Amino acid sequence: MANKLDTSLAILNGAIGDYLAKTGNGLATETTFFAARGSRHLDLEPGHLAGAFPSPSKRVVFLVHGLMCTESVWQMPGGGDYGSLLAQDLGFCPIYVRYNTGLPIAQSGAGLARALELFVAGYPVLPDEIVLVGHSMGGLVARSACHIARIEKQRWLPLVRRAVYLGTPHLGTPLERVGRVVAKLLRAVPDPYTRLVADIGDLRSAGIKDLGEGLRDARHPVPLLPEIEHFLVAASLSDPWLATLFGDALVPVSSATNGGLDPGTDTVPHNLKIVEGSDHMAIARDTAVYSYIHAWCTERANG
Amino acid sequence: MVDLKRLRGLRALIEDAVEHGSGAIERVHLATAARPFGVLERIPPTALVARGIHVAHDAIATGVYGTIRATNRLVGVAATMALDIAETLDDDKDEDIS
Repeated sequence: MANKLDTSLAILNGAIGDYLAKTGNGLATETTFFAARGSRHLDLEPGHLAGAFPSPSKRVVFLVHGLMCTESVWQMPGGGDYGSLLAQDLGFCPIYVRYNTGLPIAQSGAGLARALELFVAGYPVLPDEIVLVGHSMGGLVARSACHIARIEKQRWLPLVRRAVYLGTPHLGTPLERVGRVVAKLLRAVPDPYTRLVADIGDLRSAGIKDLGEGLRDARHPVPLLPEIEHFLVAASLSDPWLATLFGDALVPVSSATNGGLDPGTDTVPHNLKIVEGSDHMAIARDTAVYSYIHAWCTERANG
Repeated sequence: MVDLKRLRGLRALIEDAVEHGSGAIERVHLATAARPFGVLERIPPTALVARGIHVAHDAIATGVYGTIRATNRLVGVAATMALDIAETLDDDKDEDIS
C-alpha cells in the first residue's frame, strides 16, 4: 500500500501537478509501474524487467487509478484488489500504474503509452493479452494512451483485448463545469476579493479541468477503438434523486456509461453494469464489480 | 533515507507559494486601499493630502511585500545551499562504503 507521503504527493499532484511538471519540481510524480502494491517501482529500461518476472504470465492487466489517487485506491476491505484477484483466479500478471493526475489527460495518456511500449519491449515474454482497467480519470488516460498508440503504431496496442472503465467520466463531469462557471462569474465581479477567490479556484490542475469535458474536446478526439472490447461500470447513489442528479456523487451514470443506456428501455447492454447504492470511490474496490471484471475476462479466457 | 529530490521540490514549492501568494495579497491590498483613497481624492479639500498619503501608503506596502519576497528568495538560496551540502555529504558517504 502507498504510504502517507505517497498519498499526500498524489493529492498535491492532482491539484497542481501540471505546474510541478512545468517547473521541473522534484515533487512531480512520473509515470511508473508497480508489480504489487507497496513494492518498488519497476525499472522499465531494457534488460531490467526480466529479473522482476521469473515466471511471467502471458496475460497482463494494468490498473490505472483516478485523480489524486495512487494504487492504494484498489485495496479492498479484505486486503486484496482486482489485480491480485485476477492473478489468483485467472493467472493474470497485475501491473499497477502510478502517474501525475494533474497533467492534461492527453499528456498522461502519452506517458502511459510510452511506458507500456517500454514494458512490452522488456517483458520476458510477449503477452497474449493485455487488459486495461481504469478508475475514473484512469479510464480516460487509458483511452488516450490507446489513441496515441494507434497514431504512433506502438506494438502494445494490438495486444489489448479489452478495457474496463470504472466510473470514468467519458462525457465529462458536471461538477467541473459548474466550477468553471463559478470561477468565470467571480472573475466578472469588479472586486479584488472575489477575483482573488477566482484566481485560487483557477489554480486547479489541467487534469481536473480536462474532466469537465471528458474526451469530447475537439483538440483531443479519442474514439473508443473498435478492435478493443469495452466494458463500462457506473455507480449510482442509493437515493434515487441524488442518483439522478449526481450519479455516483461525482460522475453521472450517463457519462460513466458513455451515453450507452437507452432511456426508452430497461435493458442494459452486456458491456454495461450499474452498481446501485454505491459511490465513485467504492467501485474501485467492490466485490460485485470484481465479479463483473472476472466474468468479462473469463469470457476471453474461454473464447 | 532522505529524498533530496523531493526536499528540493518542497523548497521550490514553498518559495513559489510565498512569491505568488504575497503578490496576490499585495494586489488585493492595493486595490482595496485605492477605494477610500479614491473617494477622498475626489473631494477638493482632502484631495491633495489624500493623494500624498495614498502614494506613501502604496510605496510602503510595495516595499514591505518586496522585502517579504526578497527574504523568501534569500531563504530559498540558503536552503538550496544546505541541500547541496547534504547531497555532497551523502555522495561522500556512498563512496566510502563502496
